Amino acid sequence: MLWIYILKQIIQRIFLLIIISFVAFMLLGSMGDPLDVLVSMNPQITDREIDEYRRQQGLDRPMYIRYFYWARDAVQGDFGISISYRRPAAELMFGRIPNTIYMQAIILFFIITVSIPLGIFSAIHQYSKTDYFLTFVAFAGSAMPTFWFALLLILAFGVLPPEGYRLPFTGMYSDNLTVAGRTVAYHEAPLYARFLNRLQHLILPVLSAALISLTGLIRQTRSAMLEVVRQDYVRTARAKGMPERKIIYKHALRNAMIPIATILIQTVPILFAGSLVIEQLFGWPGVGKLIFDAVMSNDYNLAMASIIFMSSLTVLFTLIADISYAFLDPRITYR
Amino acid sequence: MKRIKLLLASFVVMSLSLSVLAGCGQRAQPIERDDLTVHARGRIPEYPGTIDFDWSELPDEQDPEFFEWSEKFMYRLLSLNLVSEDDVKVPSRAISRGEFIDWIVRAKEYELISSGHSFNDVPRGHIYHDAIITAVEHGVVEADASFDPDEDLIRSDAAIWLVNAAGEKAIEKAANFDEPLIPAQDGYYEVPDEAIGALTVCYWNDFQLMYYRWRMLGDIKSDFRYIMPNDPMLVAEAAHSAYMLIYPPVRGESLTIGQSQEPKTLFSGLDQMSAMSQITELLYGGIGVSYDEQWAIHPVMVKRIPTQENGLWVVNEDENGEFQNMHVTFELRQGLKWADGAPITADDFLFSRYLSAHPAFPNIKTEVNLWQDEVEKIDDYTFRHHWNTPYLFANLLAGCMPRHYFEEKYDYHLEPYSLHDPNYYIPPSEENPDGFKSERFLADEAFILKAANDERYNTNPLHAGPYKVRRWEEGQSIILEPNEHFIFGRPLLDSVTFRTIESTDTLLASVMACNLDMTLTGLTYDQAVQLQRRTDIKVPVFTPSLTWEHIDLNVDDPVLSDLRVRRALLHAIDRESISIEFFDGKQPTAHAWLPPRHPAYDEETVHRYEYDLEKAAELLDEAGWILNERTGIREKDGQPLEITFMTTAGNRQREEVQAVIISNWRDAGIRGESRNEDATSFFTTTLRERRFDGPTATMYAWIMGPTSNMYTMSHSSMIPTRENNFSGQNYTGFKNAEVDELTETILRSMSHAENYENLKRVQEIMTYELPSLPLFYRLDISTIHRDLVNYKPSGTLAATTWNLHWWYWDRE
Repeated sequence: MLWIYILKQIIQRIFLLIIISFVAFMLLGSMGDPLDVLVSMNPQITDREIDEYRRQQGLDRPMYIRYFYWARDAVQGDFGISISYRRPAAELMFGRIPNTIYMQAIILFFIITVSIPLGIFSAIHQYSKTDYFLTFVAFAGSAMPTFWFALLLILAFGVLPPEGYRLPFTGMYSDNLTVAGRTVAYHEAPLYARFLNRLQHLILPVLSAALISLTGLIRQTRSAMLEVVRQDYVRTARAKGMPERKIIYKHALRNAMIPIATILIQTVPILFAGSLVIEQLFGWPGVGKLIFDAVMSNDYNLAMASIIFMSSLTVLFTLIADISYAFLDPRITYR
Repeated sequence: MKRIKLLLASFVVMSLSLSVLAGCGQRAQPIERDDLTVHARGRIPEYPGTIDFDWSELPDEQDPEFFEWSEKFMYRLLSLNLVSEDDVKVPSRAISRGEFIDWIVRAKEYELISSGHSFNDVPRGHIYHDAIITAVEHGVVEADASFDPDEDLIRSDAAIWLVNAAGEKAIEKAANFDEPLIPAQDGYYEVPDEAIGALTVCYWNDFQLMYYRWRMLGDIKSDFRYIMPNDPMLVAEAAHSAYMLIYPPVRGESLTIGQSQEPKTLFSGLDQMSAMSQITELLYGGIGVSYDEQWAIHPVMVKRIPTQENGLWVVNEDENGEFQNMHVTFELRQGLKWADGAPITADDFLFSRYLSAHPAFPNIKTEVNLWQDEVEKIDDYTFRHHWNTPYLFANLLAGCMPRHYFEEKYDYHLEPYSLHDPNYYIPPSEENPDGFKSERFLADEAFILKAANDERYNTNPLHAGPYKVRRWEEGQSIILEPNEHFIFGRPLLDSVTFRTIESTDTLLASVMACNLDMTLTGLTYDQAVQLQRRTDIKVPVFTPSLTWEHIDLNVDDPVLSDLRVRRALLHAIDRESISIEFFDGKQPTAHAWLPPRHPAYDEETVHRYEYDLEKAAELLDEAGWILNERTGIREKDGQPLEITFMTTAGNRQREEVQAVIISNWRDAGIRGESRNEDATSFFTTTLRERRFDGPTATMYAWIMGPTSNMYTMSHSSMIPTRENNFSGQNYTGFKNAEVDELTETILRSMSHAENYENLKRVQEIMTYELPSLPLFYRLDISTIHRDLVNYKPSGTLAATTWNLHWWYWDRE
């Protein structure tokens, strides 16, 4: 039964992707074409020249025909050539995706390792001073705009400390490193120096990006735990004299993890979508910036490739979340 | 409740700490464009006095701007006690041979001797006797029979002495040249044989012992830059040379430049973004049009730029004086090399032209492409462009791409073709919608598409500029390293890195944290001022650009067709206050279409409209628009004077200026109704198709330039209509027979001087008729480290890195 359910879900989502691609293509097309940017400031470009260019680039054909050609190639894995980069759109995108995944994975790891223990701690010590403090931090964190917090971190750790004590805040690594008093190019530096440098570059973006999800997850974990702790079976466990540690970790936490896990899975596409702000602020060469630029400059092949990628990602993770219910929660059965 | 209070408190604390942090630091003075060449370096004490320099002796044809620039060198020599105030009081006088030798001896701190070689015209007791003898002793001057100590010093002689004084390295270098290698219009044929090596070395980046000259032709500055090797050396120039002898340029170190955009491709010609041109300028090294800080152009790969005067540009006319055709000949320098060491020859220029003019090459083709017929190879170092239509800038067009790279990689030979040949290609037209493509055309097309999409060339192009790409960390940085084969020698800086930081806030933080040495694009005016407040190491540079901010009026509307209303609108705008309010007065007010630096700008003939509410009221009264005391708005036949005021939505600065103008107009009894649109629909629909509803003012910018001809903006045939398929940029709907005639002449003219005269007249008419209200020239904002020398933005569209191979670090 479960497999039929999964199959149904997959087919549904493929249709969804097709609809998304069509709507996105039409929207991009209605926003103008790559020439608008060139033409808007230059009084010397004539319309004949523009028409010529349009025809050469195949921009003069009707939208639905262009969509058809695009879809035919895309199904075969060919997302076309980016009109502004003059390189295959898929190649450009896959060049950047690892950078985004790299940062997002660390953010996710950071969120999980920090928020779940803190949430549990907060729940167990309900109404204690630490609980109040953590709740306050959680509220303040989710109220703070990411970019504002990021700028604050940049100023506090990247600009104001005296030279030599500043944390880097642009890019994935420095162009040059100082190793044993000598300046060497990043790619010629020893492994440990490169590792250290990459680590330093992660601190500020991870802290700023993790803030919202982190604080949200602390509160979610706390309330999920509190809910479970009040359940009858926990009381029963206590009544039969089970040690408190065992009650928390064996009975309470496992049940509390069900909502938390789904929230976590759904956080992944949200993190990806939100990566643009962090990537822009910290000059991170990720995919978010690439997509933003592609949409702004009407580079439709590249924009489409990235929209398809992002929506596939979201669809995939909602699918995983749906399926994971089945495994995590024995009460759910599929008919 | 408790939680909310805590939250509020934390915000207050954080905001307070932020504002305290932001407020600390001290204020520095901004650098004006002209001060950029040499900065105060700490090691030379500032000269306590000021001198009233007397520039009256400046020879007529020489440009005073440059010589005023040299004042700081004279102050520096005064501080060093090398010269006296009397020596430099008249910097425009020619320096005598004896006097300059005396300066060199002092600059080099040679110990004076009083006996040695004797010249028959330098008697013992001559004021410079000892200095001259000392110079002979140190090999600066040759031990000839006579010396002529009181004669004017000729620049080529000065070059020889300077090189001898500069030392072994310079002398050795000079011996290497048997052909002059100086990027100036007279830097090849006019150089005397005996000074070929010396002059080249004086203009070599390692020495920089002499600087260029610009020439005035009557009131108009010549388009070219010169060295004038046979002219007398002036005191001002001597001061620069003596100073450089003491403090020669320093080699080494790196430079990190921040930009808010990253180029998408480095294939020149496929994109036009400014972040890209800053880098491609370094990779391609000014083969095309390169403007210097005085808007003058100079030959790089060619020996001289073709002109009708030097005979390389021949215009053929029939017996009635009608244009027939013309050809322009380019003479390449010998010994040019690509970054991989392969020689650059005429074949590369031919290849480049046939590649980029091909219909398959994905660039925007301009009309000019159709005016050029073919390119002919004369020999390996000479080629000729043939033209069927007059084009005033035909001598500046010569693209160059490495033929061997593309042809070897794709194993294809691109033969010259003619687009007029129906056996090769027929473009699609209404009668023949498919056109015709021959087999050869299709083969060429396939090759050209492969070339345009060549991954290596798009990311790491092989070319001949001062730098080449070492690494491109996509989305992060582009690291350049020197090209050992660069024609003017390995550049001084060992590496140049362009770091992409899209967020301007982070860009600003990076400058403050000293992660960047300079920024070229991205910072806003407010941020530059903030920077100025916090540090004195990084200095903002404000260069008036060619971006002309203005308001177009649809003059075919009954309300705006009245000249008095248009003038009243401009009289009512307080442009000076807007500039002071938003840009501390640094953004120059525009009084005409072309900027004051353009040779065709004429202060005297341009009509100016100062802020004058009374005058505005008078004009409106005259036009029948009477003030309704109750509403404060003027009315005519019961209709209020109301103007729809449009601009691009989301551009904060523009919207702020718009609000001020609306309030200005209100003071004059005019209601401005703002209706902003997003940039795409504003430019592509509203303006392009002139979808105006009643009297409309549209505020946006054009980029004017040294080559602006104003034709598409002011000719009556350029008013976009449904009939002409909305072509042209005369969005105001302005019609004037004289302007039509003048701009047509400009389009066909073959004389710069004549063109400038015509453009002046066009300016005069346009500023009288006011179809557009000129507002400002936007500021280009860059920031540099104060120890970086030779940053000279041209204020044109040309990249500000045009002379980067001369930049160096000059630290204490």
